[in-house]
Amino acid sequence: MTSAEIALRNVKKSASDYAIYFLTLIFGVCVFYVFNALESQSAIMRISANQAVIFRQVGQIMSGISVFVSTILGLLIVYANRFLMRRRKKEFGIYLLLGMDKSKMSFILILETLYVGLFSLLAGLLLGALLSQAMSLLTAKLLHAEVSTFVFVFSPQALVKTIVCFSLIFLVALVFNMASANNQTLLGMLYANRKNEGFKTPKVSVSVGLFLASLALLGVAYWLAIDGPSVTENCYQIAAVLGVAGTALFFYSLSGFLLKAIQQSKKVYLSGLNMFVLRQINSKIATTCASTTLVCLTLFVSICTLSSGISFSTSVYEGMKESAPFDASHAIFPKDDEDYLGVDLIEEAKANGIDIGAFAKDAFTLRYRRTGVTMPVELYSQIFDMELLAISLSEFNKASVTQGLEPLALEPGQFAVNQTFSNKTAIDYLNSWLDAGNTATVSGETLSFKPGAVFERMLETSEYQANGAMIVISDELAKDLPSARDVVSFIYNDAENAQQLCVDAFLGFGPESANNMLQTRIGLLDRGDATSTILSYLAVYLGLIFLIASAAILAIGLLSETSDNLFSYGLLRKVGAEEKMVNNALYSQISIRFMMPLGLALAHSIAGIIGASKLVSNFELAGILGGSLFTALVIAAVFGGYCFATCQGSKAMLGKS
Amino acid sequence: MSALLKAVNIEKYYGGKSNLTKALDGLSFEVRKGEFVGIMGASGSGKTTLLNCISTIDKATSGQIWINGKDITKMGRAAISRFRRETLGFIFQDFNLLDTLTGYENIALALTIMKKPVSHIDTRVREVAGILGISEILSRYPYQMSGGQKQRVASARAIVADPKLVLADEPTGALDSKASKALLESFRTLVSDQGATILMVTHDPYAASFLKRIIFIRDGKLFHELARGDESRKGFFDRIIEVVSLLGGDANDIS
Repeated sequence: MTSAEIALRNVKKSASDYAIYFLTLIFGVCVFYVFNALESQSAIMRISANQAVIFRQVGQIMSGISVFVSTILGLLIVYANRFLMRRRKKEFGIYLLLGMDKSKMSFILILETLYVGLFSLLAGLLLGALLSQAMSLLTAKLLHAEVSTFVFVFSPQALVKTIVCFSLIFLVALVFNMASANNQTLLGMLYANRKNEGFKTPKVSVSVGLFLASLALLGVAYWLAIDGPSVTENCYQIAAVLGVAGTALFFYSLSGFLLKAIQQSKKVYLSGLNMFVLRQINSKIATTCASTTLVCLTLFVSICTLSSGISFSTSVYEGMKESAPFDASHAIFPKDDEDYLGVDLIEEAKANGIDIGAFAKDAFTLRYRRTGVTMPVELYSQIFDMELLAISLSEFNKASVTQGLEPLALEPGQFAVNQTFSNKTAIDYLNSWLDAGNTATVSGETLSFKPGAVFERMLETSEYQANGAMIVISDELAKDLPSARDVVSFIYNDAENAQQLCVDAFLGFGPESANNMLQTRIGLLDRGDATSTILSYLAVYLGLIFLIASAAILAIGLLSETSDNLFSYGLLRKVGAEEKMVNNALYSQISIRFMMPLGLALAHSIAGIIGASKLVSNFELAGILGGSLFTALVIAAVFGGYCFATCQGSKAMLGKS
Repeated sequence: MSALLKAVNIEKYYGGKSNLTKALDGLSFEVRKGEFVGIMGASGSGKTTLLNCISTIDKATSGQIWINGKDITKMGRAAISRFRRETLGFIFQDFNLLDTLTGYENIALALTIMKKPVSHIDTRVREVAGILGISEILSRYPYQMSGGQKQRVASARAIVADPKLVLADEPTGALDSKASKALLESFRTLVSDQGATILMVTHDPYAASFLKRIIFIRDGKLFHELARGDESRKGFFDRIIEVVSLLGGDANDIS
């Protein structure tokens, strides 16, 4: 038999052992290809020049991140290989015993790695190419671009990149394999199946105590994550530390606690193989606690990045849309060290020969005025005294009515408030300050707050108007206050090139002594798309890789445990347990071990999302919830797939023994 | 007394036409209810194959094996599991206890697999542990027990479900002489007081001297049979030694 035949036969023979390995490689190759092929997907979309730039940026960032991802996948594959090699030590020992050269054995190993690599690369690329098509539709949606013609896009660059990266990974894995095969003594290989008896588990009563302690820790961590900001400043750091400690302790004590709890009901405990399953899980706790904790935390990170990754796109886009009530706004504001006297931008434009009517059917100015009045605001758990800017009632109403909002009416001696805080605690603080009956004194006149008159309106198209509050006062009072900032906003007319005309006329327009800035709705939305698309893809990419990594680590650990415990399962058969009963015991053990980290990670994520919901606005929360649904599906697919493959692989091992 | 185990002309062949090995070659014997019977033979004589065939772990090529009135060579897979669980008990040379379970749980396992009610499990485990003198160590794990204690826990597991036939494969093989004696004494008690039927494979003449009857096999065939009758253990032991010295081949085989 030639080496090639032996190698091929070996791969076929241990197909079930290799299942997890294949799965990880295929998922890895597939995800790797899909994200590196993003750049080429612009082919099917009608995109603007701005969006073309975004595509190039996405491509560059994905390339950079892929180096990091390759490292993770490489480590994962080396880890998976270690398990496979351990399973086969005896086989290699026998080759050597029969007089095979070490060099020939190495050659067989190389060929095996080659076959496995080729197969998984092919399968992964095929799957990746298919998924990539779905991905391009998603991209179109994220960029709010129209799908022009749907064609099958294949990216040769991504193909080459994938092949090069994975060839390197296989090479590294091979070096590790050969090293581990060469470092063994023949005796060690032949007796590799000898298992060591004895195990360490905490006392059951200690477990119960530790379990309650872990629940307390996690409870405090959750409370801090949800209600923390009102308790202490470093709440999130403390929550993280307590959360990690609580998680480790939870897994260290969970099985002991379960054992004790279920032992209370003899009826359940002494039924079928229940006690075997529980004892088996409990006996592994000392050795698996660290890896289970790691898997749970990785999973938590993965769930958070996946669900927020999807919501980025919605929230950033919605946020940008809100920041752009008008087609364009041009602002003039003072440089730091210069006096600023204020400019009437419409008059100024006319004086400079600009024809606003060429592109706009409506144009109006808005002046932010200095009052010298301060008001305490709470931001990031700190109280600042902030100078209140004032807007005149008529300008406020013009900006409001133009975007279809109700105009405001003020009695003499009253003021209203317009705020753009994104932070709920800041808003609550403002409301309580107003409700306390505080007044504002402008130009010597003391104004009282008009009950209920707090607005949340965007008065210009600008990316930078978050986190502020201003007062609205009567035109009479506002008239003589000095200007802090002047803005003119436009509503385009039907001219096809209105945007271009506007940019040509106003970009860089304004007095030398002041800063100026033109922002358009189209520009803002494109930029929002870019930010959100890049963030979403990054988050989803890394989230998926972490998810695969955690599932694979779990699966490989469980498979090697099954192979260590073949004796116990054989014994159950000898004592008379039916095949089905033994298989069920195996399945429930594996499912429980998969569910343990997944369940806690879900609990962590729920606490995290509730906490986050207090900090973000409603539309962001809706996005996160939508993202969570997507995440749940992905997790069910990946974890379900690995759990199933682990069950099948373990069952195949039992069948062989 | 009626025959509990009746083997009729069992044959077990390994290999193909060109290299046929007859591990069992037309072996017939009977074990009656309440007997303590041994099987002796040299290495490769077919002892283990025979035990595997009787315990339904392996299938005989031809012949019939009747246990408790049923021909096990004609049973289907599902029926065999059930049969093994309800009719047979096993004791192995290396104890084969599950290290993650306590003594109590190892014994109870045989009953929980049969889905017996909890109350029955608890009383029965304690009863059997009492008979075998291991009540004190029920809460210990196997790694906290001596070899003799482990084997008695394994024996308790074998008989706890009240099997018709207990099959013991070199049960004293890993024990020192004191523990061996104690174990064999308790086997005798099980046979005389509990009415158990035990079929024990051994190659140790000392262990065999505790038996009532010994079947010797050589090259897969019945070679000899010894019954103790009213003889003293010492006398029986001497007779066993005589036969054992012939098992590997006699002077006539040396040319």
